[in-house]
Amino acid sequence: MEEIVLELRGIGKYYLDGNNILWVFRDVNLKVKANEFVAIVAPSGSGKTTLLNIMATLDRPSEGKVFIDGIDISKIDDRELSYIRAKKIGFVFQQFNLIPELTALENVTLPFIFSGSRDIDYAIQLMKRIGLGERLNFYPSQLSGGQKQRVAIARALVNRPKILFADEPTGNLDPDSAKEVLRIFEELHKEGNTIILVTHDYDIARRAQRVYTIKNKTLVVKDDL
Amino acid sequence: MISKLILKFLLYNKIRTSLVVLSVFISSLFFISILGFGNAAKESIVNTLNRLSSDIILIIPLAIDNPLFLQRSLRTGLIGEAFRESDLKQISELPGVLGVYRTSGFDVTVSTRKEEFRLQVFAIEEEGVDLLFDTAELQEGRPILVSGNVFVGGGIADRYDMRVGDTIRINNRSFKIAGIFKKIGPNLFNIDNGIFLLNDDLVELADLDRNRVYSMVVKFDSSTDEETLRSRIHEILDRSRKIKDTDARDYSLLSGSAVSKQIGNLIDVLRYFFLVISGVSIFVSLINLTNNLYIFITEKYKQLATMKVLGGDSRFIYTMILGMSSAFIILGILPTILIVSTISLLNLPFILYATDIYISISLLILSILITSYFPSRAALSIQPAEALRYE
Ligand SMILES: Nc1ncnc2c1ncn2[C@@H]1O[C@H](COP(=O)(O)OP(=O)(O)O)[C@@H](O)[C@H]1O
Ligand SMILES: [Mg+2]
Repeated sequence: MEEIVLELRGIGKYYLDGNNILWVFRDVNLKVKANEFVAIVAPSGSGKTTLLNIMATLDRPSEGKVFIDGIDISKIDDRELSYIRAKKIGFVFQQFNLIPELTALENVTLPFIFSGSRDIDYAIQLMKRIGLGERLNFYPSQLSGGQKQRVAIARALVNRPKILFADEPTGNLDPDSAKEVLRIFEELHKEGNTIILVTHDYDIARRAQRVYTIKNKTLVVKDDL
Repeated sequence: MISKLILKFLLYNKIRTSLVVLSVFISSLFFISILGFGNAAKESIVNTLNRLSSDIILIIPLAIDNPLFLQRSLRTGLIGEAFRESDLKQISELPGVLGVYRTSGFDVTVSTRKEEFRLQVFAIEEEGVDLLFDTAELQEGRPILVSGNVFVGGGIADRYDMRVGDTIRINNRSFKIAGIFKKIGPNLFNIDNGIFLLNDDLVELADLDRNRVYSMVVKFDSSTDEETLRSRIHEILDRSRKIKDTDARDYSLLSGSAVSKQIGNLIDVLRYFFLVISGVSIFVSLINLTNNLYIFITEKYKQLATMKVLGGDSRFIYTMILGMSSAFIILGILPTILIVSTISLLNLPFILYATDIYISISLLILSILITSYFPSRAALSIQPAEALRYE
């Protein structure tokens, strides 16, 4: 039996607009196995970020349950939640979210504070792997958008997570940098990483093994790419 | 790594960090100076008073709480009702009393070759002159006071450039300076700022009544209990002056220990007053510090959220905010500690007791905890999903 690293059971999320309940989506079910590359492609405002945040433990669902590596996220306290964030998931943001006061290498090794790891060699190896071996001591302000996003990818991977989440990772990049970043994602997948990526761009989604979309306020398989 | 992070966050706005550190520095220096110099002032004054006049009681005809007292404490007899010959005699017969001598003080005009000024001069009966020489050492001259001679306090001599052998005029009579006292600081006779002569000379010069006892100085055996002696003297004088209520006493017994207690209390009041002010300044600097931590959290809102996504837990947040607060405070008190150490090495009048140091350290720890508590709560309440949407 293949290992299930992420499972969503009956997930729904609403926001309140005054007294009105606005459901973004409901009854979302999903199982992701180790080493899968899953994409969710849907237009802007359809709830991709909201769903990804729930999967990645950054947000709580209004209903349903999230299991990461078999652990029910709704049943654990803040301490254990932080542990899961540190050890089991990596997150790549559309806006990079690097710490400007830290160098590229320091940004990549920042998660060591939370995981207790000290594997600097692995961090440097990752930096080389994404083509930034020469820029270890550059500050984010000295890097291009594509380079920043590659630093962010290395940061997400440095604790060897079970799942790598990416929210429109190429959304802020020029076409060439975007291509490079996507190539890295594909390689990471080939090397055995589990990736869940959301995007509004069908060309990007096409690179995944399985593609979903959000339709009629729920998650459905997209098979007409 | 986390300390590096704290350092980088402190350095990202150097001016703001420096200003916070400066405010901590100023308020801590203010606080510790008041403690240290206040302690030293009190100790030095009280010690000198105790040391110099431990076996003397001065009896003056004015209540110590009379507002005139401070200005005219020794212009006795001229303000209050003088004592009787019989009072003096009875006191001199009390056990432990070695001698009772007439003394008086008077406002006069003094002229040197260069200047003319008003001053209070003090006189003591010839038999009691040794009390003066016991209280203060001479800088120049021999300890013999005869009619027509005066001794001058070190302070006055310096101020008006007086020398041994000079002739000065007091209310138009000539006197020769026979000696100058070393400066000794505060004491019962106010020796530094006085001119001293024989009682007979003063009586003549000020046209006082030879038969009245304007005030007296009692010399007692230092093995005698001062409190008992004081109450005996009170009995004699209360009877003689027909005083029933002790609150209505129109005379005072001054002694080194009594005056030092009073001056000690006065210094304490002043010191607490300034400590409160410095406490307020510390409070203001801590508000400034807390405010800065809040600004930091607001400015770094998204980055703090990112760190939570990367696995930062509440312990990390507490450590970071506590670390920043400690860094501000420690950087601020470091120069204070340096200055205080230098002052101690320089032998300046600066004393810190162990309790002062315990209090300061407790205050320090409390400050770090209080200033970081609320900002930490604010940082903990950041919700990553919400914060990351924040533009
Ligand atoms: N905090 C919030 N309060 C109210 N509505 C929200 C909030 N966050 C997101 N939404 C709404 O949820 C919907 C989905 O948003 P989002 O997940 O960001 O979409 P996408 O990432 O697909 O563009 C949007 O209509 C958005 O307005
Ligand atoms: Mg989005």
